[in-house]
Amino acid sequence: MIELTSVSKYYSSGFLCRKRAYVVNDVSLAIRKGETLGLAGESGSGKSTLARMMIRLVEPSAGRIVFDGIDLLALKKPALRQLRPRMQIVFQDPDTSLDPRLTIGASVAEPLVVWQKAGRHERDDRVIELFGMVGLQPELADRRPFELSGGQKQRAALARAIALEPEFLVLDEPTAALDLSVQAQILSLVQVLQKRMNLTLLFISHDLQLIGRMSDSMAVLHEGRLVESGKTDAILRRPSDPYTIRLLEAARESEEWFGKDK
Amino acid sequence: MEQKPDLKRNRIIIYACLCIIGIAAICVAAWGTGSGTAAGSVTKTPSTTEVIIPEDSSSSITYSSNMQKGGTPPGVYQGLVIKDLNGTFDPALAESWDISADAKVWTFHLVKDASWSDGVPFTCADVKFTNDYMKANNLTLAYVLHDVETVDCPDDNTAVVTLKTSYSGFLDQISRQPGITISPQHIWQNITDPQHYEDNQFIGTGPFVFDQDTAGYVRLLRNDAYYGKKAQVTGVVLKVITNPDSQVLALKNGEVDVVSDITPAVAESLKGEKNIAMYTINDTGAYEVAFNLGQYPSNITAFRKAMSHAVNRDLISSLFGTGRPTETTFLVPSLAGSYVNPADVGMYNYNLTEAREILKSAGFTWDNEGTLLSPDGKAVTLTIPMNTLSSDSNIQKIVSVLKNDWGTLGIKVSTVAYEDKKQYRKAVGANAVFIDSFPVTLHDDADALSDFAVTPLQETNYYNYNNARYNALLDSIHNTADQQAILRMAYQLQDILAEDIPTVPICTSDTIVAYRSDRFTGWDLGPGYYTVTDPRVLTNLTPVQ
Amino acid sequence: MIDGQYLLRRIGYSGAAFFVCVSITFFILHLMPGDYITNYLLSLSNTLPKEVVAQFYQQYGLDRPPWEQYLIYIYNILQGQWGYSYQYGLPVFPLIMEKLTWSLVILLPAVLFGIIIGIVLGAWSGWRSGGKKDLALFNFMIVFRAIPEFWWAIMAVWVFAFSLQWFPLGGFSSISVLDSGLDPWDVLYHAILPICLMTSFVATGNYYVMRNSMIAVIGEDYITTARAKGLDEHAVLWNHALKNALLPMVTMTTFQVAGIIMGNVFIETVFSWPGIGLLTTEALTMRDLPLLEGIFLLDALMTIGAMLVADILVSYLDPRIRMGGQ
Repeated sequence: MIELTSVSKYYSSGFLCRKRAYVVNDVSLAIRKGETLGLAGESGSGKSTLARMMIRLVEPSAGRIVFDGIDLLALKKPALRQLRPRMQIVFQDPDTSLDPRLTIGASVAEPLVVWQKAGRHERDDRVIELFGMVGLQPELADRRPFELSGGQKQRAALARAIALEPEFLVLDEPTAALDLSVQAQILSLVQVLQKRMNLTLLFISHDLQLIGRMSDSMAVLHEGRLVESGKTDAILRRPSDPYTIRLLEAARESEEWFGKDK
Repeated sequence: MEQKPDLKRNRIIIYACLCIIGIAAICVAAWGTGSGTAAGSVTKTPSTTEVIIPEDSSSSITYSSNMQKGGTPPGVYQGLVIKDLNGTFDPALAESWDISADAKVWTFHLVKDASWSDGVPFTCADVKFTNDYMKANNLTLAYVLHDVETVDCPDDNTAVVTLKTSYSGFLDQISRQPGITISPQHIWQNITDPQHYEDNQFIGTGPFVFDQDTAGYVRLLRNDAYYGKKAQVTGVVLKVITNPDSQVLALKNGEVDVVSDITPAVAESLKGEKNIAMYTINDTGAYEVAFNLGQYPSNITAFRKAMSHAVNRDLISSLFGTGRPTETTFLVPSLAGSYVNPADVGMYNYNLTEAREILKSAGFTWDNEGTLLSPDGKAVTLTIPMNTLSSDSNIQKIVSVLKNDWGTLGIKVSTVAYEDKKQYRKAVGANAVFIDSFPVTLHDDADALSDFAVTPLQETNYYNYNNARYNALLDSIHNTADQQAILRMAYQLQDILAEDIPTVPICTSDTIVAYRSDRFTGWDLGPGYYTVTDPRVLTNLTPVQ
Repeated sequence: MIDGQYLLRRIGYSGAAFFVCVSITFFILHLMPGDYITNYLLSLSNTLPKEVVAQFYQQYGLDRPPWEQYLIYIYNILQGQWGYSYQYGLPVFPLIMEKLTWSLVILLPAVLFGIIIGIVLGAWSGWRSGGKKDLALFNFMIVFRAIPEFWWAIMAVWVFAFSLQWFPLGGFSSISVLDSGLDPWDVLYHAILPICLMTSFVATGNYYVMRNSMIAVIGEDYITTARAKGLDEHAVLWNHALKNALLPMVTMTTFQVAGIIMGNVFIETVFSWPGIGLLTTEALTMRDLPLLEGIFLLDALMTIGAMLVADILVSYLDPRIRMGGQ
């Protein structure tokens, strides 16, 4: 479905741009259709930048990205725009990902308006349907983001992301800003939606436990470099990279500490 | 996304562009000055012979709600006399005057054919009314007439002023700034609240008549019914230009005919400019290093004497650059003339060695670092208060010279700036030395010497100087009308001052005036207090054909 | 959103704030070192009889204790009596209004144009932040702003008024006013140069704020989301970025409009424009207390009014902000 070859992102600095600061350095990855790839790493490891490059919201400095047989980086803007409905993203913080001035309903409906997917009445029906799919009461459509709870907002963000029936969905730490109980609900919702819509997912998290639960295969990013990738089970059972081992140990420790709560 | 180099490169490009724009602007301006002024003087050929004079602020000319508050249009109102040089007075509404021997009763013979600009004849009743009305309504300038007991009118053309106490300086008092002008009885007698009354008629007796005050212009027209020397210009327009740079540009453009009080630098730049001529009004400002005799170490006479030899007048004068600074005595020689005691001119020569000798013989010593110690062993330090609101940069120049010279004598001099006049005055009272700049109108005749006296009216002076013989002499001067006696006593007063040194006069400074030589001549009246709006100057102007 | 009861309470608070403002102004002005009488009398003569000075203090009511002066003052302004200016001897309010009118001739268009131009340029620049054109404009603004207003004003007079003679040197009317009366076109002609200058000063200030606001907004996830949704750039700019970026500008511009009342001393001095700025400076140097009190009173009124308006405007424009309620 999507394939990355030697993708890098760097910023130049210093006199005559002689210094390069790499955010993502030479990463090659592939996700098969209908599969979930878990992307792990600490904050600042370049996970989000990599994810945004995958759907070309950020321009890579080097490398090649192929989406469903199409060379994504070779596309001109109008062609890229035509491709947009097929790939969507959900961000970590629902507070900033929904336009604060718009009602939830308007936010969810906007992609439908832009792509003229439905007439006005059908659109309303579609919004209600989408609300139903993510488990939001239809009455909430007239509310604004600040009037909703974190979980509701994230559900709305999901509804908006699936409104155009995408094939590829990036979930950038979708639950990091939520309570544990809400976290679980959102994650199962994602799994239900994936099955129902046959979604290909990129699931980003710093929480290895979540990645283990959600993904088929996984990759670990450390300071912009890919340090490990492969089947999730295999890596979690026998990590080969010292950094992954450290991550795992840290996760286990916190599990012991907070075990009772989980 | 290579942000930083872009930023740098951009900034360099922009600075380069700005430089180019700046150079272009200067070129354009230079080209404009060449062709622009020539064009300007062609297009702006005046149709009338009105003289156009810039004013710094609209409030200085247009608001005169409150009778006798100052700020009246020039040449409209007149006093009894106008002050002239050397303690003499030009007649105005009074043709001549007699003084009683004890200088207590002043009889003014008024001009006979004077009338107010609305046609009502001017009589002694107006003089009497002005005095009585000002006092009855507590008008601001009523204090000037504080000494007047009564004004009597034996007939329409004679005014007899009786003073409470003898005062030979009375003419000086009513004619020097702010002075008293005579107001029309028939206008003001019906005004019950002059403090809050807005006068917009300006009915006067002078050589000019108020015409209108509109949109930043005040126009005065020639008074064709004027009893004295009539003006040749048809009118005077005062134009408000708040920015001094713009005043000079307006002069170059031919929009105004004269600019007063320009800086030496501007004067230098105007040299060689076509159709612009300049002259200086000499001795319009004067400066002194004043001592507060109530404060240590200024209370030590030897200290003051030593310091009088430590003021480098020549250097200070050359630093001023305003034309022609001159050495002064307690009276300004070019203005006070024969009142100046020649024996006391130039006695405080600049000689640091002599200053050192005087200090040494008075018991002052120096420590190893060269610091001056007083006879009781204390280091001598001085703080000079400065008034920052007075924009007089000359005072700073004086202080910088003093700091240097007095530093070599071992005295540490520092300054403290005060923004407020009241606080400044307080600081003057609390420190030993201060620098004063004074209007020379106060230092031009025997009466000016009262600045150093203590009288019943003036319980103290800034110098905290109190010499019984001096006070008695001044009292005698006030009590006589005999000019010879006054002159003799004025010499004695100056001798006493030279001995006691409450102050060390430094120098005077000049005012530079630039005017359009293609418009009017007759600006420069020679020595005197002639501002460009003085009625004597305005009536003397001759249009250039 | 705003509810009626809250609005009433808010207006009540504004009234209280005004009262506090006026009181503080009064005492600060009265605590200022120096007074009109000292300033005025010292300019006339170095030595004055004591009783004369005392009489003046009594005449202006300055001999009374401060609290008494304060009570009289409050009583008077409640009656609509703003007092008489010491210097001019005229009622304060008409005096201020006359000067204010002249200030408005320059400042009203200048502030409006300045706000619009600043917002448009700032939005454009922020939208293209990091691009070459943005950096060029941004750097130009920095350089423009780094040089003092006074210098630009003098340069403008020199180049455009003196050398090129496109505009008059200053003042607000030609000398022909003396014969033919005030001509609005002539006033406009005199106002163009100062208006242009003022506009560019106001525009630069708004440019920075708008650019920053825009950069902050386009960094938000909902802008990225909008792009991901496939909105074209115009739709992202107009529907999401611009509207959100404008919110901080509402308060700022409201205050700018209220600030007009203080005039602009630089422009007024350079162009001999008889505005409120010059009047204030003059009143301040002369310690003309009734006039100063009048000016600050009006300023307090305008600022407090502007705060109220800004609050209400923002609450309608920004749904996140709820006034009162709950």
